[in-house]
Amino acid sequence: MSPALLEVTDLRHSYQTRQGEHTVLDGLTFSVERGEFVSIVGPSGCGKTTLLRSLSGLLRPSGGTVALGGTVIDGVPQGLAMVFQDYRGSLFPWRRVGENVEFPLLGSVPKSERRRRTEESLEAVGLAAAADRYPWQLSGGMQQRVAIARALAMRPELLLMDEPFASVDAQTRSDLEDLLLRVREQFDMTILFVTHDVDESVYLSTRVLSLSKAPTVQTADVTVPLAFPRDQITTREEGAFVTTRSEVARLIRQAGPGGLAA
Amino acid sequence: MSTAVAPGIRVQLTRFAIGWIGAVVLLGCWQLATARSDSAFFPTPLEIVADIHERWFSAGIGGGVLTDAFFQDVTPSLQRLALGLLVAWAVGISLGVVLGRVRTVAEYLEPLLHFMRALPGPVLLPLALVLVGTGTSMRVSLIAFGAVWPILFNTYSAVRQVPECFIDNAKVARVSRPALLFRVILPAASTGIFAGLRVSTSLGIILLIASELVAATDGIGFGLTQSQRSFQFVAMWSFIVALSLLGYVANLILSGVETRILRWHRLMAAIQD
Ligand SMILES: Nc1ncnc2c1ncn2[C@@H]1O[C@H](COP(=O)(O)OP(=O)(O)OP(=O)(O)O)[C@@H](O)[C@H]1O
Ligand SMILES: [Mg+2]
Repeated sequence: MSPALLEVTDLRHSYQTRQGEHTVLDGLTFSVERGEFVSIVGPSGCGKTTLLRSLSGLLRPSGGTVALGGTVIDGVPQGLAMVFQDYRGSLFPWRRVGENVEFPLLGSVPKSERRRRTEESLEAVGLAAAADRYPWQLSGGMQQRVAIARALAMRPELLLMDEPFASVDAQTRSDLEDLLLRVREQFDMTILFVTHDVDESVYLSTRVLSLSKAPTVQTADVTVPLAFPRDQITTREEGAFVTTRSEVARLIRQAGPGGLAA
Repeated sequence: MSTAVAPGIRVQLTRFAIGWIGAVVLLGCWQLATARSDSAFFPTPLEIVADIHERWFSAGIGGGVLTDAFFQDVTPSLQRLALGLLVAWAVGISLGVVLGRVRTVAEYLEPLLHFMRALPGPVLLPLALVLVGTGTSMRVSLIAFGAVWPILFNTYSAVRQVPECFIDNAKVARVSRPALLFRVILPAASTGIFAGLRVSTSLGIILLIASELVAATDGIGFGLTQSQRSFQFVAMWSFIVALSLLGYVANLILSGVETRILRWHRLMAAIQD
């Protein structure tokens, strides 16, 4: 059997603070297979960003290992892209939209291929016409789509997303959710998606993992029995959606007083 | 966008026109006032212009316009200033980046650098004379030493303030270290760096003149003191005008480059106002 795309083993992290050691991740073990869409739900401050930073090699965890495609990572691995929580700090304001999307390819991909991938990625998020504008001339939702396009241009095997839709309005948010499901098909990616919204996690994923408050452990691993393509209205009405959502919510509440309400 | 830019241009043109009208009116008053007085210390602007032309630009088209005196009075100063500023900028920007990115280096060097910055450049003139002698290298090092601080500290603080998320994004894209520096850190810090360039340029001009006041045989500063000592007041004024032109042109060049490089920043600031 080939190794899982992502294997996390006993991942631990503590930050050194003035008050001493602050344990955030307290031993997480899970794996993600190729083709899965795994959501990670957890309350604010439980260490979701810390987890993704360890998975992407930006942060060296205090303990445990992360393996991508069977190789334990040490630094940022190849084949991985990340969409950050704050879109305002993600795009470079001195580069035009197209130049931002092209950025990760500079120096490693020949020019004609760069142009092709940039166009294709912007096309996929519906922003082909905005290539020559600056990011700060776009709305928040559009900027987040540019950030997604930039990730797509890297052709990642694994896409990490850190609460990417947390700061846009509800309508934009459902549009972005459907856009994400579409590009996942088109680009054949495995996605690990962090959110604090149980509804969103069930709607998008094939599997939901939930985390407790810090010091954080895993509290649930629920498979979502819903077919693709999904639909904002009919999928959310399905019995399987409702029961899965309740199951996840219940597991989260059992795991810790306060739970997601925090 | 285009609708937002059009009135901007009109406003700029108006400002430009007002600026020039102001200058012309001022010159007119100066002309009138000095023409009425018969003080030798205050020649009329027309006399000064005539002297500048005669002194530096009267070699004729065949002779290349510039006179020998130009190469004696102005060229050496330009060379010293350019060289001194180049050294100051190169050292200031590179050291500023290192300080801004490597916390431990900053902790070790910062107190020392602040102490050194507190020394006013001209005070070092006697020391520079002893250490580096009276040649061009003395003047260049004095300019470099004095002008390095604003660019160094501006770069340092601008680089330190580059948002960590920009760096993270670049790291996830697996960019090389040079690419991280030239494509992310320097552009993100560019507004601060340019502010430093401007201040260091005006400081450089002051130090240039200071350095040419002692043990010099040519240059604007030398010409200025020479003409003053020999009571050639029209010539003295010509040198003063040459100096202010030097500052003006230097600023013009810097603004031109800045306008090009920081176009995005100006547009962004205009939107967010
Ligand atoms: N660099 C750091 N130094 C010290 N403590 C930190 C650091 N980064 C995060 N923390 C702490 O670790 C905990 C987890 O932070 P993290 O950002 O990973 O949480 P999160 O789940 O992403 O929260 P949110 O939902 O608000 O984004 C928080 O208590 C935070 O204060
Ligand atoms: Mg977070």
